[in-house]
Amino acid sequence: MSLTTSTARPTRTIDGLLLAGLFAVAGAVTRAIWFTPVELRQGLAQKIFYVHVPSAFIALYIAFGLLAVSSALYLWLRDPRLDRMAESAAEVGLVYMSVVLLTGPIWGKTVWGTWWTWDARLTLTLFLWFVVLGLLLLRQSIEERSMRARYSAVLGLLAAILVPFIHISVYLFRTLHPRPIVLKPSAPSLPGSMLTTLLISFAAFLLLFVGLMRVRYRYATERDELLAAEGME
Amino acid sequence: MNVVTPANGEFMVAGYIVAGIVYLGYTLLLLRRQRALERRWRTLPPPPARPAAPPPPDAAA
Repeated sequence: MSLTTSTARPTRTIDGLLLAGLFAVAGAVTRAIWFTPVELRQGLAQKIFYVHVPSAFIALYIAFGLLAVSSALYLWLRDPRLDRMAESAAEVGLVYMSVVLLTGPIWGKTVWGTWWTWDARLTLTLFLWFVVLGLLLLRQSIEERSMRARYSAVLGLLAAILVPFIHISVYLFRTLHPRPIVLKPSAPSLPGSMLTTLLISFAAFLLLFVGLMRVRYRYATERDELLAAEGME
Repeated sequence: MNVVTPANGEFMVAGYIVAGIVYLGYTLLLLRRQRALERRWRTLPPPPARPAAPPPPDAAA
């Protein structure tokens, strides 16, 4: 896509979808805390589950899936829109991943008795977080647009390759991290009311993800148009 | 067998607060970035005026 050099200033309003996502998450959290039964053995700390699991699912499978698809398509088509999509997915995915890595230890401390353990699932997840952080830092260090897009597409693909390994790591290795209780071949082993709350949380965090992606992608587009208008790219 | 449910509500609160700070913080960061971009658009000089179109050939004749 060719960049326009119009100086028409973008009109600034708060994105409706982002606002809806924030309200939906607030609603889901309210349901999780006050209207979902307490797990008998783990106590209230188990309710971190309703933030931790949807954030992990969206980061790993949706954000980094989008990163992989956009990166692969960019290497094929060389369309700057795909590069912007990959950039946005990496950044928003990193935010979701940060929540996973911060809430996991808080929950783990009460259940496992330790904040962190270097088992396969946790270590690979932390490694993926650093790879995606590295991708975003790499983007800032390369000025030439096509080279930046090409390098980050390759790194984006490499990062996404880690996702299936993270998923199966709990089956391949002895880990403290439990195996999936919803995303598994048999039926979810979760009581109905907890499963409903989990699905509501998932929908809410997904809506927030779409809102954040929209705002982030629009920012990337307008930034590139501005750089073109300033004659910098 | 009796199961004693642990009293660990503070961990739940800590988890939700941390998640809230990250999500809200990032949302605010995005909005700040947008505003900074808008300021840069405002300082951009207007594009040069396009030259007037030449008169049609029959008008010259």
